[in-house]
Amino acid sequence: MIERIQAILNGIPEVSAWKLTVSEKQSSQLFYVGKKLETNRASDTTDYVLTIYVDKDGSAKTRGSATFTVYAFMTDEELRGKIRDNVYAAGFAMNPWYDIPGPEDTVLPESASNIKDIGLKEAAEIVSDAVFKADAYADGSLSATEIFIDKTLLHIYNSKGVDLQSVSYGASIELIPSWEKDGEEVEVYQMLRFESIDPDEITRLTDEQLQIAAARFTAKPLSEVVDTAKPLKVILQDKEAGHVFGYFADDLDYSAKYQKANKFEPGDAVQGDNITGTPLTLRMVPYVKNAFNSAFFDSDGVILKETVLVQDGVAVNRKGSYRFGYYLGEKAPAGNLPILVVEPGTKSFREMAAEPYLRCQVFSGIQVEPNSGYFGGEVRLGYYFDGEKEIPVTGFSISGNMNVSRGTMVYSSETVTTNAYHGPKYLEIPDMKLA
Amino acid sequence: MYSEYLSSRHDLLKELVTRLGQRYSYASALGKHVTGKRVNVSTVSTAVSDTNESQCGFVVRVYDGGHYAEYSFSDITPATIDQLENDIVRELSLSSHLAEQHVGAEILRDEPLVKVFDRPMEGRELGVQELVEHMTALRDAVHAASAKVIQVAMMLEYYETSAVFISRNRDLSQHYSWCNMYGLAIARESSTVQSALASAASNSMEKTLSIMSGKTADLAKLAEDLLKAELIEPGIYDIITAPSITGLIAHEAFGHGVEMDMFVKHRARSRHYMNKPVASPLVNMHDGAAVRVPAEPSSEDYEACRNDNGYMTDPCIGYFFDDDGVLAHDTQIIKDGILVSGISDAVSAAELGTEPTGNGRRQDPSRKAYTRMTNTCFAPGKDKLEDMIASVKHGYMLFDTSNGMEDPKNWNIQCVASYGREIRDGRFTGKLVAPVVMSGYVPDLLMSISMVSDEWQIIGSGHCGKGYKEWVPVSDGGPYLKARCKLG
Repeated sequence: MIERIQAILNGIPEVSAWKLTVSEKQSSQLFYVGKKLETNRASDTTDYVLTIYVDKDGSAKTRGSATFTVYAFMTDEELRGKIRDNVYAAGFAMNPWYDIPGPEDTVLPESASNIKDIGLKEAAEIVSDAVFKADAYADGSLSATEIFIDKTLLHIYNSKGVDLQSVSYGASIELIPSWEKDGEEVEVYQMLRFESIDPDEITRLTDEQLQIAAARFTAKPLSEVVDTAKPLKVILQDKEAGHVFGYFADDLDYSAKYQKANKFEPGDAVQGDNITGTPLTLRMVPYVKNAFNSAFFDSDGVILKETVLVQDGVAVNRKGSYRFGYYLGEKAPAGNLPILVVEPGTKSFREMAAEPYLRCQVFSGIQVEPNSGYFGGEVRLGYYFDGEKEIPVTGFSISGNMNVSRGTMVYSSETVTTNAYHGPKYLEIPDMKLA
Repeated sequence: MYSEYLSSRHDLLKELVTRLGQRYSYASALGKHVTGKRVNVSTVSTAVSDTNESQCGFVVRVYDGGHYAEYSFSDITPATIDQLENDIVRELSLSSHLAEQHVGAEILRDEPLVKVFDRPMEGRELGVQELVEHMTALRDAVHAASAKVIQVAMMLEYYETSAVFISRNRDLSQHYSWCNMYGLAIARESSTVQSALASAASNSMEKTLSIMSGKTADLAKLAEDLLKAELIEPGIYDIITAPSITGLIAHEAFGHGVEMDMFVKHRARSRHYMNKPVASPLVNMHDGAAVRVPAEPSSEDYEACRNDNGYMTDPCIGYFFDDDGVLAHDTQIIKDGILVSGISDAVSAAELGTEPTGNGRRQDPSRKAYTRMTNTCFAPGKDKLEDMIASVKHGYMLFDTSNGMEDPKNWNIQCVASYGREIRDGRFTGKLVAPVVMSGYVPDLLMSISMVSDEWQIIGSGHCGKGYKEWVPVSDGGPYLKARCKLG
């Protein structure tokens, strides 16, 4: 199929350049209601996505593109017809000319996943056993569990000679732990993702989620515990801390600059001139161990390398797609780097507990609005620390603005790794509004 | 036009289902082929691609007496059918350890039906050149309306869906279409940046462009006005929800809780409230790909929402049968404030011993089917919007869905409106707040509904996830509602 597509592309002179992305996915899946198996699934699918580029020479050279799916069932004539249709369409989507990446001499690491040796079906069963080993409480249980064991072969080719391939494995576990007593019940949601399978760790994390459900069961409405009309020191943690740092990374994307929607330029103090919190050092990297979104190349075929965006509170670089990097005159655009890394602070969580705080553990979804700077959301489980003990609380939302909080946030010395973030586990934010 | 490719695979699928039917007590196959284009025209870029809904593939479902099993694949040919059958049997076999854990589900009903359905796109089909020209003009119109608008993006997407469902007794095929459009304006003043969004959708490219054309001036003004928006002072307020927010409440706050796969998993508090009051007696709510919205027979809305076939004129989710091969329904969920029905996919209905409601949907054939909403809405009432506004001492009218998240077991509300307009003593003050987070307990909100407008609108351009995945197109909406809610 790949050779067939390349041969047809080479026979259409209007195609100035092209990129072909092939994804071969195999999956073994188990779907449980309680501890009972409702459905098992397997899939074996292949997708071919082609981008063609069409150049026009006028007063300024321009390039149009069209991205479309082709299928293995298509005859040569059908493939040629679909490509020609998209050459026509690309002719009306002209933009200032940009290049596409070329090949680089590099050796990409192989997947270190143990799923490769275990096998997908067998891995699903191992994960299932590990999950349900934790489901051993009288009042708590897993209402529903979905287990996905995936193997993905990703291959990117382009007309400049890029020929990159990765084989990745992953286990994704959707857990719905619930807690029920005396006719009252609560649940929480968690999606766990791993590159490799460690049954003991899966059991531990499943148990942790059941404990969170138990805490939510005992949680009181925040308004019964504290005066919500007064702002309070809030502590965000784990992936929500990463979301907040994403505000800076998004602003330092090439596309934000090209669209003139950015606030920060290299050299700017991104936290303002008066930093009372922790100075920010933020890097984007391709790989962190246990960060599920790690990738060594991006969807354009750019080999990804660590890029420092903010050093000690000062913007130093941008990152982003090859095209917008090219527009900004970058000689080697950084690409779409998947993992955000923040240097930890010096204050431990224990030190943060020197005064009352509201620690937010489970959100329905935190929102960080890149334009206005608003951030906040509904919190399904938090802990109010009254100076002596943490009290589980629920039924409230927090809101703030990065324009106000960016220089006052304090980062913990403890770190955490989530799917797309490695950095401070706790993020202390003074004077947030509650509702 | 129905997919030639699916036509070419029809007999092979039938053969595969027959073969699997000899091994399993139930076997069915679904094939789906979605084609279409997505065109983006922004201030800095123009792009053309296949629609994000693009997909082509198959899934078979079998039943072995205790649970269901599925296998997804990309193609079937005379040369591969034997190998495919072997792969299906091998991959779906369970170890004895897993086989002992099955849920004990009942077999799916398989009532005989052979039928072809078709709902082609209305009006003229526009080519890429025309679309880019129209959208460029709309983009320029937004820029021309405000010097503070620094970026405009227009996105139009149209798609045609073909699907085939084959079981021992059913042979169904359908073809239908849809067109969505978004307009985004980003305004800037000094270091303050704000954005505003407008949407349009219909079963006609020309109509969709025309609807968006009528919104460009308001879009630019809203983006500019939002530059002065403030954060709301948290508290409990009287609110009036515009149809977008009414739909958000119908969908996120309540609709997810009546998806009956949640009943099977004991995840929905609503299962304890069947045939009990959950909302003010003024409230009626529906869902379905064949939804009919009841209103006074004389109402213009009543006529506007039907076509000759009894379907909504522009049903975003306009399928005729779902991904389980169940015909589309109109399900009344709340009647005069009483919860009277949930919605369900076929497997959940089999487990609960209820009728499936045509709500079994997959993101694509490589994914599992779940109970999913379609067109979800509150029905109109009799109040006039101006009377509703006049009745508010101090509160906000809330506009434009930003995001929302369900909480079916605990019925906590997480709905975010893009902005709100302050009302004092029955009049708009001109003050804007953005964004606005609504929170609280769902029945408290629904019980607090005190007025329901006779104006009604359904917005057919959104997508919905199950948890944080499994995205499918949906629409929602309804009338303006007056209620009381915690805002932050």
